[in-house]
Amino acid sequence: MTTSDLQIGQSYAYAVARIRQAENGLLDRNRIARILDASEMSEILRILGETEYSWAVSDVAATDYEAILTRELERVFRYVSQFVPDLTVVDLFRMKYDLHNCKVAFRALALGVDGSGLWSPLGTVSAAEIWRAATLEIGLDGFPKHARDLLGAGLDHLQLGVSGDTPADDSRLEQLADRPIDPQALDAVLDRAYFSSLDEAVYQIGSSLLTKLLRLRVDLVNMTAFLRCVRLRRGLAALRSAFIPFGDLPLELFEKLYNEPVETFVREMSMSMYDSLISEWSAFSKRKDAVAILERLGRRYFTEMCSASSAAVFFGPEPIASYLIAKENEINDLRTILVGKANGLDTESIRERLSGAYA
Amino acid sequence: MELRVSPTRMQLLQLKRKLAMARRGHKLLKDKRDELMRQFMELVESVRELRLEVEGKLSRAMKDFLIARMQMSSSEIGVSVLYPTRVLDFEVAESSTMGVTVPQFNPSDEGDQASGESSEMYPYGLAMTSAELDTAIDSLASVMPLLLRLAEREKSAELLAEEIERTRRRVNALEYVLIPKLEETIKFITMKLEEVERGNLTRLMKVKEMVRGGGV
Repeated sequence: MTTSDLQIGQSYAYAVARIRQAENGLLDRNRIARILDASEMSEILRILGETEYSWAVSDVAATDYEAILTRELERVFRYVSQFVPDLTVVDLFRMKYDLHNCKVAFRALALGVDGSGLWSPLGTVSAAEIWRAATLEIGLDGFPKHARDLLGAGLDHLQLGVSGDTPADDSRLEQLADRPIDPQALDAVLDRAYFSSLDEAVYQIGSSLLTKLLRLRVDLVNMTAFLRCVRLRRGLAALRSAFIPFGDLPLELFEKLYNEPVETFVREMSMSMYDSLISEWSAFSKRKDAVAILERLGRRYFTEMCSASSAAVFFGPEPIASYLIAKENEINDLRTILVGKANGLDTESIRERLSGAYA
Repeated sequence: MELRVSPTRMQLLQLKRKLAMARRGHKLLKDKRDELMRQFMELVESVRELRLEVEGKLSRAMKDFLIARMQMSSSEIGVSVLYPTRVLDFEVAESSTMGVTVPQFNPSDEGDQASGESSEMYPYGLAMTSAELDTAIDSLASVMPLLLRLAEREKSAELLAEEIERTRRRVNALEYVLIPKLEETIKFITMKLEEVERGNLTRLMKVKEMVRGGGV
């Protein structure tokens, strides 16, 4: 442990104690099993009402499960923000929603619609502000660094200019409405800006463990993106465009494997630090839904790595990040169950799609 | 009830010509109706099979979307498919079946690609979306050409059904109204002419008798 790590750790002593207590509120396997066995949505809501979700499920229609999950995440972000010494740790998880809102804004702008119904309230910046910046109504100066980078990357990609002091120019917006955009390329630019912001934020937090976890996350994203590129026959150019450069696995490795059979991918990855993940996945590698299975296994692997690494940390930002990751996974699993149950999917099909990574 | 016509030989000739034409038309229309019915039954069978196939594939696509929805929030899916990269473009041509103009939907090149393997139909990046969404988009794209063909065939079946109904009404009108009326009128004129003929003959015989008897 470095001196810097020690200093950071001491300032997190209180926050970690609160987080350890909050971890007890995560849904355990028994509770998830009860929810899975519930036959009706009202029964699921009743079970959730006995947990930390009680506030989220109050006054919400049983069918509006997305609102329940959003409200719970809002509550968790608000709760953790109360005691975490450095809000950047929470922002690491909220940036994803800024990225989402930027995607909504730029697509809506290109289509000439307002994107209503798609905005997320979970970002660090309000959706309305992002919309105003995307429509060149306001400059980027007042935004946090990561939002500035995201908006700047998007505006730059769409040739709308970046500078905060750029006056509103309707003619550029009109031109945008007249020409088609490439949403894949736009997403690639925004996704890279997002991961770059995460990288900067993790560097700013100064935790070596979080840096390691970010690399792990990027590698998992790159692995699934690579397999999807191969499956969709997108070509090397698309692979290069989709590649996120903040992981441990280099682009050259994926380029080398692009025209190789999946067995070669398994062999190469088995020689990397992901051997346990890949050996588990190799049994499914020939299946049609192999990439989706890798996504699920990757999510579980990431959460387990995170829990295992942060369990030994008593004072630092890692347990907070670990809790938020576990919470995100729990919410993803709940979404899987709620959507499946609401649409009459059988329990076994739902169960096999759970990451199983909750506490 | 016969037609209101003057019982003359000229009318009788005209009516006989009309009757012959009506019988010929009736036969032709009946043949047309039978052929239309045969084609309609074949079309209905192919529509039924195609509809079952489309419904099966649509159901599969919906299930795939449901599975993608289980992995992504509704707004994430919404933004991923908000800006379409492909437009399903098709030309509407016409062809004739037994005199019925039916549509033909021909997907243009761009439309064809929408059902192909090109990555361009996936309007989202790969880092923040689930692979399940690719599967759902694939499933839906594979249904589109079938949906077009189904629309084409269902519209053809609808137009054929209308034409069958129209032809059936014409056949019935000829069979049960015009031809019986013409036959009755011809019969009436024939009888009338025969009556006139008999009257003339009687008059002639009377005159002859009077001439022979020297009564005049």
